[in-house]
Amino acid sequence: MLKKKQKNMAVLIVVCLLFSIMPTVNAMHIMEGYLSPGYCIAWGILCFPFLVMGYLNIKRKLKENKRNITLYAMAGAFIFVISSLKIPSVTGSCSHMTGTGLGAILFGPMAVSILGIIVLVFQAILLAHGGLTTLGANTFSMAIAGPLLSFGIYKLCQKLKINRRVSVFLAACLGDLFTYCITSVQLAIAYPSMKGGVLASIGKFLGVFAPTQLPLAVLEGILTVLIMMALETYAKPELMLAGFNKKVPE
Amino acid sequence: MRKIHSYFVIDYYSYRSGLGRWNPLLKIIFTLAALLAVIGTEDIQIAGITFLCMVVLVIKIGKVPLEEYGRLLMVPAVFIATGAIVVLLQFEDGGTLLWKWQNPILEVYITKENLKRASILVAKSFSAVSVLYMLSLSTPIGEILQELKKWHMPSIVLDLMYLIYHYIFILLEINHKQKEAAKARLGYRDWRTAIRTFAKELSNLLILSLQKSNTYFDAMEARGYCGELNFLVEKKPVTISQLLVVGLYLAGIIFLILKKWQGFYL
Repeated sequence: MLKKKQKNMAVLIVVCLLFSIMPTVNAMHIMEGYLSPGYCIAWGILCFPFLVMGYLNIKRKLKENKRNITLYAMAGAFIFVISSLKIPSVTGSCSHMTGTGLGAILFGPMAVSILGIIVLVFQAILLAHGGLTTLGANTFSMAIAGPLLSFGIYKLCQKLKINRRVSVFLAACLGDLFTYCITSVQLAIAYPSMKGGVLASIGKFLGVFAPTQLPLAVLEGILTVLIMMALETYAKPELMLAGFNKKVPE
Repeated sequence: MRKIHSYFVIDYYSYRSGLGRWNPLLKIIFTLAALLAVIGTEDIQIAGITFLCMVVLVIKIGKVPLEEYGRLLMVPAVFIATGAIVVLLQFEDGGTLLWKWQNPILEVYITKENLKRASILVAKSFSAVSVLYMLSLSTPIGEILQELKKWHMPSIVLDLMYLIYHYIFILLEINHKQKEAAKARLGYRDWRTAIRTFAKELSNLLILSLQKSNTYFDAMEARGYCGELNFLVEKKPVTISQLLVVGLYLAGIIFLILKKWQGFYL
Protein backbone atom coordinates (compact mmCIF):
# COMPACT_ATOMS: atom_id res chain seq x y z
CA MET A 1 0.00 0.00 0.00
CA LEU A 2 2.74 2.37 0.98
CA LYS A 3 4.67 1.49 -2.13
CA LYS A 4 1.67 2.27 -4.26
CA LYS A 5 1.27 5.63 -2.64
CA GLN A 6 4.89 6.40 -3.33
CA LYS A 7 4.43 5.46 -6.94
CA ASN A 8 1.43 7.72 -7.25
CA MET A 9 3.34 10.52 -5.61
CA ALA A 10 6.16 10.07 -8.11
CA VAL A 11 3.74 10.26 -11.02
CA LEU A 12 2.24 13.42 -9.58
CA ILE A 13 5.64 15.02 -9.16
CA VAL A 14 6.58 14.21 -12.75
CA VAL A 15 3.37 15.81 -13.99
CA CYS A 16 4.01 18.91 -11.89
CA LEU A 17 7.57 19.13 -13.15
CA LEU A 18 6.33 18.85 -16.69
CA PHE A 19 4.32 21.99 -16.15
CA SER A 20 7.03 23.93 -14.40
CA ILE A 21 9.73 23.35 -17.01
CA MET A 22 7.59 24.18 -19.99
CA PRO A 23 10.08 25.88 -22.28
CA THR A 24 7.57 28.07 -24.05
CA VAL A 25 3.99 28.79 -23.25
CA ASN A 26 2.32 29.74 -26.46
CA ALA A 27 -0.96 31.48 -26.49
CA MET A 28 -2.78 28.24 -27.20
CA HIS A 29 -2.09 27.73 -30.87
CA ILE A 30 -3.42 24.38 -32.03
CA MET A 31 -0.41 22.68 -33.56
CA GLU A 32 -0.07 21.32 -37.06
CA GLY A 33 -1.63 17.93 -37.57
CA TYR A 34 -3.87 18.05 -34.51
CA LEU A 35 -7.20 18.22 -36.28
CA SER A 36 -8.60 15.89 -38.89
CA PRO A 37 -9.43 17.32 -42.33
CA GLY A 38 -13.16 17.66 -41.63
CA TYR A 39 -12.61 19.97 -38.66
CA CYS A 40 -9.92 21.94 -40.49
CA ILE A 41 -12.34 22.73 -43.29
CA ALA A 42 -15.32 23.34 -40.99
CA TRP A 43 -13.48 25.95 -38.89
CA GLY A 44 -12.16 27.53 -42.07
CA ILE A 45 -15.67 27.91 -43.45
CA LEU A 46 -16.84 29.38 -40.15
CA CYS A 47 -14.13 32.05 -40.42
CA PHE A 48 -14.91 32.93 -43.99
CA PRO A 49 -17.73 35.48 -43.51
CA PHE A 50 -15.69 37.35 -40.89
CA LEU A 51 -12.67 37.44 -43.16
CA VAL A 52 -14.75 38.74 -46.06
CA MET A 53 -16.13 41.50 -43.81
CA GLY A 54 -12.62 42.34 -42.68
CA TYR A 55 -11.37 42.40 -46.26
CA LEU A 56 -14.16 44.71 -47.40
CA ASN A 57 -13.53 46.95 -44.41
CA ILE A 58 -9.84 47.25 -45.20
CA LYS A 59 -10.54 47.75 -48.90
CA ARG A 60 -12.90 50.61 -48.11
CA LYS A 61 -10.37 52.23 -45.81
CA LEU A 62 -7.69 51.95 -48.50
CA LYS A 63 -9.99 53.60 -51.04
CA GLU A 64 -10.44 56.50 -48.63
CA ASN A 65 -6.71 56.92 -48.27
CA LYS A 66 -4.01 54.87 -49.95
CA ARG A 67 -1.67 55.73 -47.11
CA ASN A 68 -3.54 53.38 -44.82
CA ILE A 69 -1.77 50.37 -46.34
CA THR A 70 1.48 51.04 -44.53
CA LEU A 71 -0.47 51.78 -41.36
CA TYR A 72 -2.30 48.46 -41.51
CA ALA A 73 0.92 46.66 -42.32
CA MET A 74 2.64 48.26 -39.35
CA ALA A 75 -0.29 47.28 -37.16
CA GLY A 76 -0.02 43.69 -38.35
CA ALA A 77 3.74 43.60 -37.82
CA PHE A 78 3.24 45.09 -34.36
CA ILE A 79 0.75 42.37 -33.41
CA PHE A 80 3.21 39.75 -34.65
CA VAL A 81 6.10 41.28 -32.73
CA ILE A 82 4.29 41.57 -29.40
CA SER A 83 3.11 38.00 -29.73
CA SER A 84 6.65 36.79 -30.39
CA LEU A 85 8.41 38.70 -27.59
CA LYS A 86 8.99 37.00 -24.28
CA ILE A 87 7.18 38.45 -21.31
CA PRO A 88 9.59 38.81 -18.38
CA SER A 89 8.52 36.12 -15.95
CA VAL A 90 9.41 34.96 -12.49
CA THR A 91 9.74 31.25 -13.11
CA GLY A 92 12.02 31.41 -16.12
CA SER A 93 9.56 29.80 -18.45
CA CYS A 94 8.82 32.19 -21.25
CA SER A 95 5.35 33.17 -22.24
CA HIS A 96 3.95 35.37 -24.97
CA MET A 97 1.11 37.83 -25.22
CA THR A 98 -1.59 37.33 -27.81
CA GLY A 99 -1.86 41.04 -28.50
CA THR A 100 -5.28 40.56 -30.00
CA GLY A 101 -7.04 42.47 -27.21
CA LEU A 102 -4.81 45.48 -27.74
CA GLY A 103 -5.24 45.14 -31.49
CA ALA A 104 -9.02 45.02 -31.21
CA ILE A 105 -9.13 48.09 -28.96
CA LEU A 106 -6.78 50.08 -31.19
CA PHE A 107 -7.74 49.01 -34.69
CA GLY A 108 -11.21 47.47 -34.33
CA PRO A 109 -12.22 43.80 -34.58
CA MET A 110 -12.90 43.80 -38.33
CA ALA A 111 -9.38 44.85 -39.33
CA VAL A 112 -7.90 42.50 -36.75
CA SER A 113 -9.52 39.48 -38.39
CA ILE A 114 -7.49 39.96 -41.59
CA LEU A 115 -4.35 41.10 -39.80
CA GLY A 116 -4.79 38.18 -37.40
CA ILE A 117 -4.92 35.53 -40.09
CA ILE A 118 -1.82 36.99 -41.75
CA VAL A 119 -0.01 37.01 -38.41
CA LEU A 120 -1.07 33.40 -37.82
CA VAL A 121 0.28 32.33 -41.22
CA PHE A 122 3.61 33.94 -40.39
CA GLN A 123 3.64 32.44 -36.91
CA ALA A 124 3.12 29.01 -38.44
CA ILE A 125 5.80 29.44 -41.09
CA LEU A 126 8.40 31.49 -39.20
CA LEU A 127 7.97 30.26 -35.63
CA ALA A 128 6.14 26.93 -35.98
CA HIS A 129 3.41 28.18 -33.61
CA GLY A 130 0.23 26.71 -35.03
CA GLY A 131 0.05 25.25 -38.50
CA LEU A 132 -1.35 25.45 -41.98
CA THR A 133 -4.08 22.83 -41.55
CA THR A 134 -5.14 24.25 -38.18
CA LEU A 135 -5.15 27.79 -39.54
CA GLY A 136 -8.95 27.93 -39.68
CA ALA A 137 -9.42 26.83 -36.07
CA ASN A 138 -6.70 29.15 -34.80
CA THR A 139 -8.04 32.09 -36.79
CA PHE A 140 -11.49 31.56 -35.35
CA SER A 141 -10.31 31.47 -31.74
CA MET A 142 -7.52 34.07 -31.83
CA ALA A 143 -8.36 36.47 -34.63
CA ILE A 144 -12.15 36.46 -34.54
CA ALA A 145 -13.73 35.28 -31.28
CA GLY A 146 -11.18 36.80 -28.87
CA PRO A 147 -10.97 40.25 -30.50
CA LEU A 148 -14.75 40.42 -30.95
CA LEU A 149 -15.31 39.75 -27.26
CA SER A 150 -12.56 42.19 -26.24
CA PHE A 151 -14.05 44.89 -28.41
CA GLY A 152 -17.55 44.16 -27.13
CA ILE A 153 -16.47 44.37 -23.49
CA TYR A 154 -14.51 47.55 -24.15
CA LYS A 155 -17.52 49.21 -25.80
CA LEU A 156 -19.87 47.97 -23.08
CA CYS A 157 -17.63 49.36 -20.35
CA GLN A 158 -17.48 52.68 -22.16
CA LYS A 159 -21.28 52.77 -22.29
CA LEU A 160 -21.49 51.95 -18.59
CA LYS A 161 -18.89 54.64 -17.87
CA ILE A 162 -16.56 52.27 -16.11
CA ASN A 163 -13.03 53.47 -15.40
CA ARG A 164 -10.95 53.29 -18.59
CA ARG A 165 -8.14 51.30 -17.04
CA VAL A 166 -10.54 48.74 -15.64
CA SER A 167 -12.31 48.43 -18.97
CA VAL A 168 -9.05 47.96 -20.89
CA PHE A 169 -7.95 45.34 -18.36
CA LEU A 170 -11.26 43.48 -18.57
CA ALA A 171 -11.30 43.59 -22.36
CA ALA A 172 -7.77 42.22 -22.77
CA CYS A 173 -7.96 39.69 -19.96
CA LEU A 174 -11.38 38.28 -20.80
CA GLY A 175 -10.59 38.27 -24.52
CA ASP A 176 -7.56 36.14 -23.74
CA LEU A 177 -9.57 33.79 -21.54
CA PHE A 178 -12.24 33.51 -24.18
CA THR A 179 -9.63 32.51 -26.77
CA TYR A 180 -8.40 29.82 -24.41
CA CYS A 181 -11.93 28.51 -23.79
CA ILE A 182 -12.70 28.40 -27.51
CA THR A 183 -9.48 26.53 -28.20
CA SER A 184 -10.35 24.01 -25.49
CA VAL A 185 -13.77 23.53 -27.04
CA GLN A 186 -12.21 23.08 -30.47
CA LEU A 187 -9.84 20.45 -29.13
CA ALA A 188 -12.61 18.72 -27.20
CA ILE A 189 -14.87 18.48 -30.23
CA ALA A 190 -12.02 16.85 -32.13
CA TYR A 191 -11.11 14.56 -29.22
CA PRO A 192 -14.22 13.75 -27.18
CA SER A 193 -13.86 11.54 -24.11
CA MET A 194 -14.72 7.89 -24.55
CA LYS A 195 -17.25 8.31 -21.83
CA GLY A 196 -18.91 11.63 -21.14
CA GLY A 197 -18.24 12.84 -24.67
CA VAL A 198 -17.39 16.39 -25.65
CA LEU A 199 -18.45 18.03 -22.37
CA ALA A 200 -16.16 15.89 -20.23
CA SER A 201 -13.37 16.50 -22.68
CA ILE A 202 -13.86 20.28 -22.56
CA GLY A 203 -13.40 20.09 -18.80
CA LYS A 204 -10.19 18.13 -19.19
CA PHE A 205 -8.67 20.49 -21.76
CA LEU A 206 -9.67 23.57 -19.74
CA GLY A 207 -8.14 22.05 -16.64
CA VAL A 208 -4.86 21.02 -18.21
CA PHE A 209 -4.20 24.38 -19.81
CA ALA A 210 -5.50 26.46 -16.88
CA PRO A 211 -2.23 26.62 -14.87
CA THR A 212 -0.48 28.35 -17.75
CA GLN A 213 -3.33 30.26 -19.34
CA LEU A 214 -4.96 31.89 -16.29
CA PRO A 215 -1.85 33.78 -15.12
CA LEU A 216 -1.09 34.64 -18.71
CA ALA A 217 -4.51 36.22 -19.18
CA VAL A 218 -4.10 38.38 -16.08
CA LEU A 219 -0.61 39.37 -17.20
CA GLU A 220 -1.90 40.25 -20.64
CA GLY A 221 -4.55 42.45 -19.03
CA ILE A 222 -2.00 44.28 -16.89
CA LEU A 223 0.40 44.78 -19.80
CA THR A 224 -2.36 46.06 -22.06
CA VAL A 225 -3.39 48.61 -19.43
CA LEU A 226 0.21 49.78 -19.03
CA ILE A 227 0.64 50.08 -22.79
CA MET A 228 -2.62 52.00 -23.21
CA MET A 229 -1.67 54.34 -20.36
CA ALA A 230 1.68 55.11 -21.94
CA LEU A 231 0.06 55.65 -25.32
CA GLU A 232 -2.48 58.05 -23.89
CA THR A 233 0.14 60.16 -22.19
CA TYR A 234 2.72 60.30 -24.96
CA ALA A 235 1.06 59.58 -28.24
CA LYS A 236 -2.26 61.31 -28.78
CA PRO A 237 -1.46 62.37 -32.37
CA GLU A 238 -0.27 58.89 -33.28
CA LEU A 239 -3.34 57.33 -31.73
CA MET A 240 -5.41 59.72 -33.81
CA LEU A 241 -3.55 58.30 -36.81
CA ALA A 242 -4.18 54.73 -35.69
CA GLY A 243 -7.75 55.42 -34.64
CA PHE A 244 -9.27 54.26 -37.89
CA ASN A 245 -12.48 53.96 -35.93
CA LYS A 246 -12.11 57.35 -34.28
CA LYS A 247 -11.89 55.69 -30.92
CA VAL A 248 -9.38 58.19 -29.68
CA PRO A 249 -9.27 58.31 -25.90
CA GLU A 250 -9.98 61.72 -24.46
CA MET B 1 22.24 40.58 -34.50
CA ARG B 2 22.69 37.06 -33.23
CA LYS B 3 19.77 37.46 -30.87
CA ILE B 4 17.37 38.67 -33.54
CA HIS B 5 18.29 35.83 -35.82
CA SER B 6 17.86 33.26 -33.09
CA TYR B 7 14.14 34.09 -33.10
CA PHE B 8 13.94 33.40 -36.77
CA VAL B 9 16.02 30.31 -37.25
CA ILE B 10 13.47 29.09 -39.76
CA ASP B 11 13.66 32.22 -41.88
CA TYR B 12 17.47 32.09 -41.79
CA TYR B 13 17.66 28.55 -43.09
CA SER B 14 14.93 29.05 -45.66
CA TYR B 15 17.25 31.31 -47.66
CA ARG B 16 20.26 29.01 -47.64
CA SER B 17 18.60 25.61 -47.85
CA GLY B 18 19.74 23.06 -50.39
CA LEU B 19 16.06 22.55 -51.13
CA GLY B 20 15.85 26.23 -52.06
CA ARG B 21 16.50 25.46 -55.72
CA TRP B 22 13.36 23.33 -55.86
CA ASN B 23 10.33 24.68 -57.63
CA PRO B 24 8.18 26.36 -54.94
CA LEU B 25 4.87 25.21 -56.42
CA LEU B 26 6.06 21.62 -56.34
CA LYS B 27 7.07 22.01 -52.70
CA ILE B 28 3.70 23.49 -51.75
CA ILE B 29 1.81 20.69 -53.51
CA PHE B 30 4.13 18.14 -51.88
CA THR B 31 3.49 19.70 -48.46
CA LEU B 32 -0.28 19.77 -48.86
CA ALA B 33 -0.39 16.19 -50.14
CA ALA B 34 1.78 14.94 -47.29
CA LEU B 35 -0.27 16.86 -44.69
CA LEU B 36 -3.47 15.43 -46.10
CA ALA B 37 -2.02 11.92 -46.06
CA VAL B 38 -0.91 12.28 -42.42
CA ILE B 39 -4.05 13.81 -40.93
CA GLY B 40 -6.45 12.06 -43.29
CA THR B 41 -5.34 8.50 -42.63
CA GLU B 42 -4.53 8.76 -38.89
CA ASP B 43 -2.13 5.88 -39.33
CA ILE B 44 1.07 5.48 -37.31
CA GLN B 45 2.91 3.78 -40.16
CA ILE B 46 2.18 6.55 -42.67
CA ALA B 47 3.02 9.20 -40.07
CA GLY B 48 6.33 7.50 -39.30
CA ILE B 49 7.36 7.14 -42.94
CA THR B 50 6.41 10.75 -43.66
CA PHE B 51 8.41 11.94 -40.66
CA LEU B 52 11.48 9.98 -41.76
CA CYS B 53 11.26 11.22 -45.36
CA MET B 54 10.95 14.82 -44.25
CA VAL B 55 13.80 14.65 -41.75
CA VAL B 56 16.10 13.04 -44.33
CA LEU B 57 15.13 15.64 -46.95
CA VAL B 58 15.66 18.61 -44.66
CA ILE B 59 18.91 17.40 -43.12
CA LYS B 60 20.56 15.63 -46.05
CA ILE B 61 19.52 17.84 -48.96
CA GLY B 62 18.49 20.96 -47.07
CA LYS B 63 21.67 20.89 -44.95
CA VAL B 64 20.01 22.07 -41.74
CA PRO B 65 22.21 21.01 -38.77
CA LEU B 66 20.73 18.10 -36.86
CA GLU B 67 20.84 19.79 -33.45
CA GLU B 68 19.12 22.89 -34.81
CA TYR B 69 16.42 20.67 -36.26
CA GLY B 70 16.01 18.87 -32.95
CA ARG B 71 15.61 22.19 -31.14
CA LEU B 72 12.97 23.23 -33.65
CA LEU B 73 11.05 20.00 -33.09
CA MET B 74 10.91 20.85 -29.38
CA VAL B 75 8.91 24.01 -30.10
CA PRO B 76 5.56 22.25 -30.54
CA ALA B 77 6.53 19.34 -28.25
CA VAL B 78 4.99 20.81 -25.11
CA PHE B 79 1.65 21.46 -26.70
CA ILE B 80 1.58 18.03 -28.30
CA ALA B 81 2.49 16.36 -24.99
CA THR B 82 -0.14 18.26 -23.00
CA GLY B 83 -2.83 17.45 -25.52
CA ALA B 84 -1.81 13.82 -25.54
CA ILE B 85 -2.05 13.65 -21.72
CA VAL B 86 -5.59 14.94 -21.92
CA VAL B 87 -6.56 12.33 -24.47
CA LEU B 88 -4.76 9.64 -22.47
CA LEU B 89 -6.32 10.24 -19.05
CA GLN B 90 -9.91 9.49 -18.32
CA PHE B 91 -11.87 10.25 -15.19
CA GLU B 92 -14.60 7.68 -15.66
CA ASP B 93 -14.50 3.93 -15.74
CA GLY B 94 -14.88 2.19 -19.10
CA GLY B 95 -12.90 0.49 -21.83
CA THR B 96 -10.06 -1.97 -21.41
CA LEU B 97 -8.32 -0.85 -18.25
CA LEU B 98 -4.52 -0.63 -18.25
CA TRP B 99 -3.77 1.51 -15.22
CA LYS B 100 -5.83 3.20 -12.59
CA TRP B 101 -5.33 5.47 -9.67
CA GLN B 102 -8.06 6.00 -7.16
CA ASN B 103 -8.34 8.15 -4.12
CA PRO B 104 -11.31 9.81 -2.40
CA ILE B 105 -11.27 12.95 -4.53
CA LEU B 106 -10.01 11.77 -7.87
CA GLU B 107 -10.12 8.69 -10.02
CA VAL B 108 -7.80 8.46 -13.00
CA TYR B 109 -7.91 5.72 -15.58
CA ILE B 110 -5.81 4.86 -18.59
CA THR B 111 -7.46 2.54 -21.05
CA LYS B 112 -6.09 0.68 -24.03
CA GLU B 113 -8.27 2.66 -26.42
CA ASN B 114 -7.05 5.96 -25.03
CA LEU B 115 -3.44 4.87 -25.17
CA LYS B 116 -3.89 4.07 -28.85
CA ARG B 117 -5.63 7.38 -29.54
CA ALA B 118 -2.94 9.33 -27.73
CA SER B 119 -0.07 7.60 -29.54
CA ILE B 120 -1.68 8.18 -32.92
CA LEU B 121 -2.16 11.82 -31.96
CA VAL B 122 1.50 12.26 -31.02
CA ALA B 123 2.72 10.44 -34.13
CA LYS B 124 0.60 12.37 -36.56
CA SER B 125 1.28 15.78 -35.04
CA PHE B 126 5.04 15.33 -35.03
CA SER B 127 4.82 14.03 -38.55
CA ALA B 128 2.70 16.98 -39.69
CA VAL B 129 5.10 19.40 -37.99
CA SER B 130 8.01 17.82 -39.87
CA VAL B 131 6.10 18.33 -43.13
CA LEU B 132 5.52 21.99 -42.27
CA TYR B 133 9.24 22.36 -41.49
CA MET B 134 10.13 20.85 -44.87
CA LEU B 135 8.28 23.73 -46.51
CA SER B 136 9.24 26.52 -44.14
CA LEU B 137 12.91 25.56 -43.82
CA SER B 138 13.36 25.60 -47.58
CA THR B 139 11.05 28.27 -48.97
CA PRO B 140 11.37 31.98 -48.21
CA ILE B 141 8.05 33.74 -47.56
CA GLY B 142 8.45 35.77 -50.76
CA GLU B 143 8.28 32.66 -52.91
CA ILE B 144 5.20 31.36 -51.12
CA LEU B 145 3.48 34.70 -51.65
CA GLN B 146 4.41 34.64 -55.36
CA GLU B 147 2.60 31.32 -55.66
CA LEU B 148 -0.43 32.68 -53.81
CA LYS B 149 -0.50 35.53 -56.32
CA LYS B 150 -0.82 33.00 -59.15
CA TRP B 151 -3.79 31.51 -57.29
CA HIS B 152 -5.56 34.89 -57.47
CA MET B 153 -5.27 35.87 -53.85
CA PRO B 154 -6.55 39.48 -53.58
CA SER B 155 -3.64 41.84 -54.14
CA ILE B 156 -4.47 43.96 -51.08
CA VAL B 157 -3.95 40.98 -48.80
CA LEU B 158 -0.77 39.96 -50.61
CA ASP B 159 0.71 43.47 -50.40
CA LEU B 160 -0.19 43.59 -46.72
CA MET B 161 1.58 40.27 -46.23
CA TYR B 162 4.72 41.47 -48.01
CA LEU B 163 4.83 44.67 -46.00
CA ILE B 164 4.09 42.97 -42.69
CA TYR B 165 6.87 40.47 -43.36
CA HIS B 166 9.35 43.30 -43.95
CA TYR B 167 8.16 45.40 -41.03
CA ILE B 168 8.42 42.48 -38.60
CA PHE B 169 12.19 42.53 -38.97
CA ILE B 170 12.39 46.31 -38.69
CA LEU B 171 10.34 46.28 -35.49
CA LEU B 172 12.28 43.41 -33.99
CA GLU B 173 15.53 45.23 -34.61
CA ILE B 174 14.18 48.38 -32.97
CA ASN B 175 12.96 46.34 -30.02
CA HIS B 176 16.35 44.68 -29.72
CA LYS B 177 17.97 48.09 -29.34
CA GLN B 178 15.28 49.24 -26.90
CA LYS B 179 15.85 46.20 -24.78
CA GLU B 180 19.58 46.73 -24.68
CA ALA B 181 19.15 50.38 -23.70
CA ALA B 182 16.64 49.44 -21.01
CA LYS B 183 18.90 46.73 -19.62
CA ALA B 184 21.82 49.16 -19.44
CA ARG B 185 19.60 51.42 -17.31
CA LEU B 186 18.60 48.57 -14.95
CA GLY B 187 15.15 48.36 -16.48
CA TYR B 188 15.06 44.62 -15.92
CA ARG B 189 16.45 44.46 -12.38
CA ASP B 190 13.38 42.82 -10.86
CA TRP B 191 10.06 41.51 -12.03
CA ARG B 192 7.95 44.58 -11.23
CA THR B 193 10.31 46.90 -13.04
CA ALA B 194 10.68 44.42 -15.86
CA ILE B 195 6.94 44.36 -16.51
CA ARG B 196 6.82 48.16 -16.50
CA THR B 197 9.79 48.42 -18.82
CA PHE B 198 8.33 45.81 -21.12
CA ALA B 199 5.06 47.70 -21.42
CA LYS B 200 6.89 50.97 -22.06
CA GLU B 201 9.01 49.32 -24.71
CA LEU B 202 5.95 48.07 -26.51
CA SER B 203 4.06 51.34 -26.37
CA ASN B 204 7.11 53.16 -27.63
CA LEU B 205 7.45 50.60 -30.37
CA LEU B 206 3.87 51.20 -31.44
CA ILE B 207 4.39 54.98 -31.52
CA LEU B 208 7.59 54.59 -33.53
CA SER B 209 6.00 52.17 -35.95
CA LEU B 210 3.01 54.43 -36.58
CA GLN B 211 5.33 57.36 -37.20
CA LYS B 212 7.47 55.31 -39.53
CA SER B 213 4.55 54.01 -41.54
CA ASN B 214 4.04 57.48 -42.99
CA THR B 215 7.66 57.80 -44.06
CA TYR B 216 7.64 54.34 -45.55
CA PHE B 217 4.65 55.19 -47.67
CA ASP B 218 6.45 58.29 -48.98
CA ALA B 219 9.47 56.14 -49.75
CA MET B 220 7.34 53.63 -51.63
CA GLU B 221 5.60 56.35 -53.61
CA ALA B 222 8.92 57.95 -54.49
CA ARG B 223 9.90 54.63 -56.05
CA GLY B 224 6.79 54.45 -58.18
CA TYR B 225 4.28 52.60 -56.00
CA CYS B 226 0.80 52.95 -57.41
CA GLY B 227 -1.37 50.46 -55.60
CA GLU B 228 0.42 47.17 -56.25
CA LEU B 229 3.76 45.70 -55.30
CA ASN B 230 5.63 43.85 -58.02
CA PHE B 231 8.74 41.77 -57.64
CA LEU B 232 11.13 40.12 -60.05
CA VAL B 233 10.66 36.38 -59.72
CA GLU B 234 13.51 33.96 -60.11
CA LYS B 235 12.55 31.02 -62.29
CA LYS B 236 13.07 27.65 -60.65
CA PRO B 237 12.20 24.86 -63.08
CA VAL B 238 10.97 21.46 -61.93
CA THR B 239 13.69 18.88 -62.52
CA ILE B 240 13.39 15.15 -62.90
CA SER B 241 15.16 14.44 -59.62
CA GLN B 242 12.67 16.63 -57.73
CA LEU B 243 9.75 14.86 -59.37
CA LEU B 244 11.36 11.54 -58.58
CA VAL B 245 11.60 12.28 -54.83
CA VAL B 246 8.04 13.57 -54.60
CA GLY B 247 6.73 10.78 -56.82
CA LEU B 248 8.46 8.07 -54.83
CA TYR B 249 7.04 9.37 -51.57
CA LEU B 250 3.53 9.70 -52.93
CA ALA B 251 3.66 6.26 -54.55
CA GLY B 252 4.76 4.76 -51.23
CA ILE B 253 1.94 6.45 -49.34
CA ILE B 254 -0.70 5.48 -51.91
CA PHE B 255 0.57 1.91 -51.77
CA LEU B 256 0.22 1.88 -47.97
CA ILE B 257 -3.29 3.34 -48.11
CA LEU B 258 -4.37 0.76 -50.67
CA LYS B 259 -2.88 -2.00 -48.57
CA LYS B 260 -4.84 -0.76 -45.57
CA TRP B 261 -8.05 -0.65 -47.57
CA GLN B 262 -7.58 -4.14 -48.86
CA GLY B 263 -7.01 -5.22 -45.29
CA PHE B 264 -10.50 -3.97 -44.55
CA TYR B 265 -12.04 -5.90 -47.37
CA LEU B 266 -10.34 -9.19 -46.64
